[in-house]
Amino acid sequence: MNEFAIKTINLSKKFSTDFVVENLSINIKVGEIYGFIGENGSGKTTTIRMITGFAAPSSGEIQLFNNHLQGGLGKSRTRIGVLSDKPALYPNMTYYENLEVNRLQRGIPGRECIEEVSDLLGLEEYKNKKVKNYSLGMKQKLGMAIALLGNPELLILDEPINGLDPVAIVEIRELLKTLRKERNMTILISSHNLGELYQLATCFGIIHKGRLLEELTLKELDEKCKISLNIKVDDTNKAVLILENQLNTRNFKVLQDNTIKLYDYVDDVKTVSKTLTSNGINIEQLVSAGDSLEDYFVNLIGGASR
Amino acid sequence: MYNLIRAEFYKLKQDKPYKNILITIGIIIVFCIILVTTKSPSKIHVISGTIGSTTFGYTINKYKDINNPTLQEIFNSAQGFSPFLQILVMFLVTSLVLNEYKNGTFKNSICAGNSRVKIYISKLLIISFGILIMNFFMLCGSTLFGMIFCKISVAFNNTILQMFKLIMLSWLVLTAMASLYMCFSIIIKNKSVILALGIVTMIFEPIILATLGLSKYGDYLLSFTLMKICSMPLYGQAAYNIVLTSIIWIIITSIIGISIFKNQDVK
Repeated sequence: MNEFAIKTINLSKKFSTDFVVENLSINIKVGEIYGFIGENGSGKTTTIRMITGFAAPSSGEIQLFNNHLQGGLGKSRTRIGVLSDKPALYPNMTYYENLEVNRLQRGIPGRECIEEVSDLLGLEEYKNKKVKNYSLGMKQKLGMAIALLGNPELLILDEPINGLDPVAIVEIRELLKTLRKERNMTILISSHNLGELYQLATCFGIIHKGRLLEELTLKELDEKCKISLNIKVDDTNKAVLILENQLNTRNFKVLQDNTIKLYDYVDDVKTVSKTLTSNGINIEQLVSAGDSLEDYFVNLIGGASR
Repeated sequence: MYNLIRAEFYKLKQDKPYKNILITIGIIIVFCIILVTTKSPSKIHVISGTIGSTTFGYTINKYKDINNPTLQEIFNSAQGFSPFLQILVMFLVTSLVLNEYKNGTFKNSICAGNSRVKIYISKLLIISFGILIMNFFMLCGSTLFGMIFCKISVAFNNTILQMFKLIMLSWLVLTAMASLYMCFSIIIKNKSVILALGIVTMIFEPIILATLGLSKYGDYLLSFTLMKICSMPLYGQAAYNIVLTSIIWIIITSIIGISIFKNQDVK
């Protein structure tokens, strides 16, 4: 049986009369890197806040490592490391003192763990500097170090690459991949940088206006983002009928800008072109292209909005 | 709980405002000693008033014979600085509670799997410990330095015992005040408002009680109780009532504070 690190069942959060998160059911298996994707205000951070215990759900259930009881949830949360949207740090302390406070409140014995995460994130160069004098990227690194303190089994990261320079982004990406590979760490990561998420995540959850639109693995995403023929014509409705009746395919979709994405005949552009023009359709554009995660996301939420 | 208390203690040790508070108390001690060593004859009434035949209030430099101050008198003079201590307690509570909200560091305690009830209680315990140090430092520090500079010989008799009793009583009352400020901090989350409310209450509570003739209710109010501790000798039942009132205040404000904090969305 696959153990779930996080499972939410019909999780909802309501502020006054509006639902910020509505009946959200996500499933994150142990050892996965789960990319949580959504626009600003879509409910990503609220969901993370409910999972981590910063906010109470209005309804629904949260299970952490198959544990859903209130007392058990607290115990399960000891196995979690969290980096929230804004790193929670004491500005008048150094990085070492910040790590020490967190070590003490988690009850981690010995100070070796501090040395370990400092080495891992390269914090030693900021040794005598107070956190209030750190740049956003440095704060983000320290926030990550706090999350990693005590070797958690589940890492929850809300916008972890905010403020990081390109070199640091690559470092963090490699670090997360290593953590998953070597320690079988489960990682829930929300980010606006979809390109970055695509390189990192093994499965994705797409949230829009508080509802989960789709949950899919990297393999499924690759399948859905496969090569297509993008066709732009003067009469989209007629072209759709021709594709269905004469080319016998329904494996296409019409985008918001009336572009038809045809997933069949990708190696036979000539047939498509000939069939359409012979039926009096003027082709404005006919190109072969593949979707990126960004395209897929935009199309998905575009469809959901309509 | 033990881990949380250790972490809170570490935070108190590293807290810059707390260090500043201890420096301020150091300045108060110096001021108290300067007054007695320079033989300044004038009494300084910080807040005072008369209810019936009894005079209440905080008085600094209250000596029968300034040339021959007693240990008890130096101690009482230091007690006159208690309103400042009350304000410093406000700063301590707002620093330790509201800065956690401001920096978002409550989140670290919560996501470490600690119960919010325990987080609240451990914070209150450490604030109380911080107050004990402040109170001890101000009252004992003044008395000790006064004793040294005025060359007063000391005998471990009832005076010491009475001073210890007063330190413990004012610590308990200040802890009850801290519990009240902590409860307000959890609800209001605004440093300036808490400080303004605290100072206004501290000044006007005794005045309003005296003006409206409600002094009999003063025993149930914290600012008035602290004033009473600093104004007159307390025996038996009076001390017992102060202990009971403070404990009741601590329990009620903690229950309210915890129930709010438990269901609060922490950002």
